[in-house]
Amino acid sequence: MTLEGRKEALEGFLARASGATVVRVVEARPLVGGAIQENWYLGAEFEGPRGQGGQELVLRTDARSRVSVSHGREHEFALLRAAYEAGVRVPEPLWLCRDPAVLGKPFYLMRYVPGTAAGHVIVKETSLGGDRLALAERLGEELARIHAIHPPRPDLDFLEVPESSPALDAVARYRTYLTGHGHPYPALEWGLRWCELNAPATDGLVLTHQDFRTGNYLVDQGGLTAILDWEFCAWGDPMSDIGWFCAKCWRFGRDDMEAGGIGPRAPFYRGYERVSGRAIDEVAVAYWEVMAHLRWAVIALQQGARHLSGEEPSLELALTGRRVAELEFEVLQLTAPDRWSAA
Amino acid sequence: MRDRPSGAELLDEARATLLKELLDRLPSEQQHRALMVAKAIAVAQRELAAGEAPLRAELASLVDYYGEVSMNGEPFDGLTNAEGPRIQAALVRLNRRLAEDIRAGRADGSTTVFALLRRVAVEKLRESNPKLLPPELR
Repeated sequence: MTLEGRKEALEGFLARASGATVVRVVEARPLVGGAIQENWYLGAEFEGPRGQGGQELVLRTDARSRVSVSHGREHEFALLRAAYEAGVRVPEPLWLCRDPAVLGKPFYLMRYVPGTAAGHVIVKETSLGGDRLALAERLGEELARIHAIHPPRPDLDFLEVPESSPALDAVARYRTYLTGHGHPYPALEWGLRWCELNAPATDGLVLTHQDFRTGNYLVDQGGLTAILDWEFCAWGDPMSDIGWFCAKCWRFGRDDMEAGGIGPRAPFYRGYERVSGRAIDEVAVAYWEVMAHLRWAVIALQQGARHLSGEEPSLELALTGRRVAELEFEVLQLTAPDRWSAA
Repeated sequence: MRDRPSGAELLDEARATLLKELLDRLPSEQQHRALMVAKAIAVAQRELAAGEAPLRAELASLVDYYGEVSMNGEPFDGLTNAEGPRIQAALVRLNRRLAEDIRAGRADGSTTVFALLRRVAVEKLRESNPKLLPPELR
């Protein structure tokens, strides 16, 4: 485990970073994370020139497996800082540690925010998140604040600028993956070809979250408490985030609640449009919902492959690999022959 | 001769035991994993029940579309009565050809190709998660 035998080193770092004289970590417990990150809740007592007090923190570092498309902790910290400064509701980013002497790998601390993130719980337990229409509208507003961040940004210079349009870039990326996979997936190829032919013009590149969906934000009884998971951000088409949030595959069974399984589109769109000053292009959103299913299908194939190769034997990964069928079905539903323009 | 209960019946009973007797006794973190075990058993059951028929149907559709008559000198007619690896090999080959054609734009908007793809997707979904099929297809 990351923190074993490292208590003193960590306390030393926290003192130096915060300017406290002494820091004592009085509680440390693992939080549920993905396969890529490791998260710890820390309860710490700080003593210093400005007095003393307890703080609740989250420490975030790399787990065993890294995927190249997700940012390392250092870049994630920069993204979190940029979002925080743009007024997005995120846990306050506190201190980044690049020194391998402390925990053996980079990590950062942010303020602990209570709440529930689990998608299937939030969609089912309507007592969570406050009024659902207000929550949908709030999420639209927050997304708009994220999209207010645009290139160039020296603090975010590690973000690649797409070569062609974000849409065509995505098509190329998924085609490359399928070619390398070995097994053919003609239904996915059908969807990708449709996407190639129907790629919308991007209004202008913005910072896209790239995993803005139910499951990646925290709520409590009152409402939204934080937007999470900043590891996939990219310069992209703003409508791609709207499409991901509203995609059928991300409604956790509440297909009728088109905005993230928690509400209708109208309040979500309204919040977004009001804060961004940008009208939502419904044709573009429909396009990006097709792309969302293709993207999720590629991810599902990747996860299945991690299990099959023996890299990470896991029932969950194995079952995810079998979700390709439902994604292919949905892609086909959305790209029937009548949605192709006559040649 | 195989004895009963059959493999399929054992899977049925195993899954029922897990869900009815064990699930509620597990701590909540393990309950999620138990549901995954139940799901995996259900997928396996449906796959075993469907057998090779959907694969043969898929092969027949592809053979029909491409008008192919043989693979490695063996008539496809013979293949549709064969089993396992040879059907799989033929499916991979023909699906690869179809994937390439679609990517290259040789099937843009084709109603024939779409119908073929949809039929296969429906059969796959029938095995992996039939609850997601529209009611009229279940």
